[in-house]
Amino acid sequence: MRAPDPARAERDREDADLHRRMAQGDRAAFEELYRRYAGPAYGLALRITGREGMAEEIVHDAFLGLWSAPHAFDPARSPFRTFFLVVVHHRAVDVVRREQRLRQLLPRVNPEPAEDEDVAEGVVEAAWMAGERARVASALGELSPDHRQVLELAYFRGRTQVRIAEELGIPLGTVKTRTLAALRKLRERLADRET
Amino acid sequence: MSAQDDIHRRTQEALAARLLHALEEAEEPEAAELLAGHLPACEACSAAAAELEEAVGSLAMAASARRPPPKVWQRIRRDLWPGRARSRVAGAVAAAAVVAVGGLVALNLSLAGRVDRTEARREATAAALSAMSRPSSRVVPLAFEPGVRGAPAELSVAMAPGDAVMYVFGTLPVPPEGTAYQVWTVSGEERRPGPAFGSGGGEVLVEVAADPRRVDAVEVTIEPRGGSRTPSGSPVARADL
Repeated sequence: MRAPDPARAERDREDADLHRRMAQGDRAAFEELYRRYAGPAYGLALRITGREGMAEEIVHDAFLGLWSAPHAFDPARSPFRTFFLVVVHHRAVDVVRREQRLRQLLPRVNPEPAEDEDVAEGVVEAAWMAGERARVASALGELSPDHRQVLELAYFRGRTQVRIAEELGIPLGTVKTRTLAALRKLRERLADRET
Repeated sequence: MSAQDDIHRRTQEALAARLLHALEEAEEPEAAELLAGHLPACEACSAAAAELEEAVGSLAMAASARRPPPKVWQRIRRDLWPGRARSRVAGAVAAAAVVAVGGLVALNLSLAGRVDRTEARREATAAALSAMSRPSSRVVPLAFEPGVRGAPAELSVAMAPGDAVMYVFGTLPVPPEGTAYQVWTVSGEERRPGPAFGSGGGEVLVEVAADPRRVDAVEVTIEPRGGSRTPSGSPVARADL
């Protein structure tokens, strides 16, 4: 039995409170949410799209959507950061897929974006975030290569499972099973790293 | 594996795929049915759902955080809380329809009046792609008048907020001998001429210098080759924005 991280629980409560105030029109609360999550949002969007301009658009649109439709977030379901980064992830994957479709039509116009590298400059992380990232990176590192691969392709490269199956030359059913197993394993490894 | 085990497995696999946003459109209905039908009544799967959400949520943290440039926040503030009255308000901006550009066939360019076609083509195409693939861009299909000669005919207009340029693209048949297509931007009663362009009976992409915020509609007419200052007749295609 593992105990939930108290620091994280406290932060989740703060975020839910900020969100509640923001939903009532509190601009300072919105700004604080931006301060906390623009970095992770931009970093994620950049990792997935490989393009700064697109990542900027995604962050802009996600925060606009947050202010304009605050009731999309239900604090009872998940922590704010999970909800918000899911939104960012979805938008980023949609962008990547549209670009892939367009690039198929005009192959020589837009070269493939360069593999995103971790750049030291411009990285800003609260200490807690750096801790989270280390925890997740370490858990991911313990997955088998097959498991890591399906998660990387789906989550970070925006591939559908149908496309992953094609690319890897394996049945779709195998991709689905492997993906579920990968997420379960990830969850286990993360749980091992709780307090 | 029993049928019961099978439905748990399929439900959780659908959940995993959905959380990862890795389902094809064609797979969505079946996934939705599984998740709506089985999930609410199954404790085991509901518990699994919470764990899967947490696992996928944690993946977001695997990417390095990076501070976006200050202009991102400035734009957000400007869009949400403009200093002066604007025609666009936050809700409209946030709700800007992002229409999938899927369904396009291969694009060639037909640019009016350009000398160096290759370079101009590359530039215009890159610019168009960039505008079209931004998440806040809009793509609106044009409706055709019946009787447009030949098929296929399919046009859309794409625009991105903040850009004073629009792109009309799609497929048009060859226009009658001695004529060309021409784009018009409509603002109120006024019709402003855009580029005149030909079509080899295939794909077209036309760049129109116009501020989408001031344009109510886009029309395409058939004009004498070289274009006209005012439309010769009623439009063959139109999109209301």
